Amino acid sequence: MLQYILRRTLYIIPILLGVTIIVFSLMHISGDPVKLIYGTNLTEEMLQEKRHELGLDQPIYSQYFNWVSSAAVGDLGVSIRTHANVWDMIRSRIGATLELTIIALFITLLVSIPAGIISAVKRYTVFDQIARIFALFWVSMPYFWLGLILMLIFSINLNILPVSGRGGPLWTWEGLKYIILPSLTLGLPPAALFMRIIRSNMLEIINEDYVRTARSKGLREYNVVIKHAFRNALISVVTLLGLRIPWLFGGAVITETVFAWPGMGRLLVDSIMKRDYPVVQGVVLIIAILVVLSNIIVDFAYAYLDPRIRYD
Amino acid sequence: MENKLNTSKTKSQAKESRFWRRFKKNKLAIFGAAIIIFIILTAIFAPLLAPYDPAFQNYDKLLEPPSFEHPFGTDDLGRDLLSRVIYGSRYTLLVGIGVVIIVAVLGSILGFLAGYYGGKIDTIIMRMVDVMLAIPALVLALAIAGALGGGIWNVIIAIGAVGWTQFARLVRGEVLRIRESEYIQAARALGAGDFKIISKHIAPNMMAPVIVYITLYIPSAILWAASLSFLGLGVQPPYPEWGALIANGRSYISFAWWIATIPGFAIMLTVLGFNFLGDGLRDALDPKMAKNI
Repeated sequence: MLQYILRRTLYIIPILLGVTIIVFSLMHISGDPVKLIYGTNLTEEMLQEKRHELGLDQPIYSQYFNWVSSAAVGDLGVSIRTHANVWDMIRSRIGATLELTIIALFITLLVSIPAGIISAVKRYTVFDQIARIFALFWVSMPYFWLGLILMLIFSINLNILPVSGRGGPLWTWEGLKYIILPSLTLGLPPAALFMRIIRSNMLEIINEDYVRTARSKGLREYNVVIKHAFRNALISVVTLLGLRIPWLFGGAVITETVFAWPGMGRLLVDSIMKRDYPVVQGVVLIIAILVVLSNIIVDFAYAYLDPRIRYD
Repeated sequence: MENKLNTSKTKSQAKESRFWRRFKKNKLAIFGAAIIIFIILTAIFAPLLAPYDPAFQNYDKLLEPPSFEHPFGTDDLGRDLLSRVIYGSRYTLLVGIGVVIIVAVLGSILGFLAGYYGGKIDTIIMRMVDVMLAIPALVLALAIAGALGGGIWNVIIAIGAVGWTQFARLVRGEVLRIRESEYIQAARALGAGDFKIISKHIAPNMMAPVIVYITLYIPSAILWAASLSFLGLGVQPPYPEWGALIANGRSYISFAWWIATIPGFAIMLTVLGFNFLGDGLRDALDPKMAKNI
């Protein structure tokens, strides 16, 4: 087991190196950053001086090497616009993003697991049909539009929740009320997908021999469904979770922009707009690291849940 | 079971009619196809259908709610929202088709190379896929679109450049599956070259999953493109792309709800259409894939 964890963790290194190449080349397809910032206001000599100052006059591979070697020790450079330290900018926002994504994930599971189980157990009933139609609509909605609709209903018309921003700590109503709409926006659309997967897996499992055996032993229906069937369906939920984690962070970018949630996603969009490429590189890199780490956690959960998976 | 003496032509005809029989039975799939045909016709005949010029600004009618004269209301510059939504269908379809072409070409080539030749080529391509999948597709598409600058073609390039990975995996898997089958070994034994094996034997046998994947991929491409435009990194105003229309309406949402909400229904309808159609195609082309989803 220890060896498996070690090997799985070491596998991050080549992936992250690949990510740094993509992230680095990204900003070099946009043209000369110095010209983009200072435009026509400066003479050619002054531009050259700025380039030298930012290290942009060096050959591309040494620029890459410099960037990666500083990033490896946590130095992501400074913003071209504000000259603030990029890591400090990200650090002050990472908490908000994690808070939003974790609560959204919680909502996804909280809605999809019971709905998926009930849909499978009560197959072809009114509940199943309604859940199916709802699911089809949810997956077809753009996040940002769902966010605006929720905002229109609960903040503008009913006036019970704040329009945007982030409040205090989550254990107080002052803080909690700010996260309700953003986390629903981010958590509900994937719930539809999870529900359908859980339903189809449960249907398959319910017809398996061991479930029939459990029933014939006289176990209560609740025990059969939850302990025997759902525990096995959980494996597919974990698989899907691993696939959806990048989407969660992608969706967070949009949700944060709609609700002015002060996380990394908004920082990313703002920096892309301002062509502040050290910040863009930093945020994309940190998001990729978060995705890779979450995938590792999912892999471990998977190995724990499914005894058939060997660690060697 | 089919008669083994049948020629390959009648066999494929039988397959085709079986497909149609199954497809026609699926009401949701027919409904989805109808929605898509409706959107395509709207896009083609936009100049005939739109009651007003989508760019015409009527300063006497700013932010008018939906009425008989303007069924979807007007926006902050007095432009007719119905006409803008009708014209917006062109951008959505163009993005959907453009992205799918890039994804299909890139994904097929790389997936084929990886699956058919294996070895080092396979390792390099699949590691590339792993790396790409570590960065959320939307985040990467945003960064690429930002670097390239806005505009519909850059949106298509940005989404296509990040979207090929899953498709390449699918193609690779199919190629691996088919490559090992006996009829490919027989063809090789008879002296068929790589090109002939790929074009005559492998490609036709993987059309079903590819068609299903592409149909189900279009809605994601449409949603991403709308998101990019909404964030201001895609199609820029004044062009009436649906995501851009919603972004514009966002500023007026507290007193002119129609500008931001109505284009969203258009996006949802289009995406639903492709989802229904894709599900139906999957069920009809490969009943084994249908299961209970």
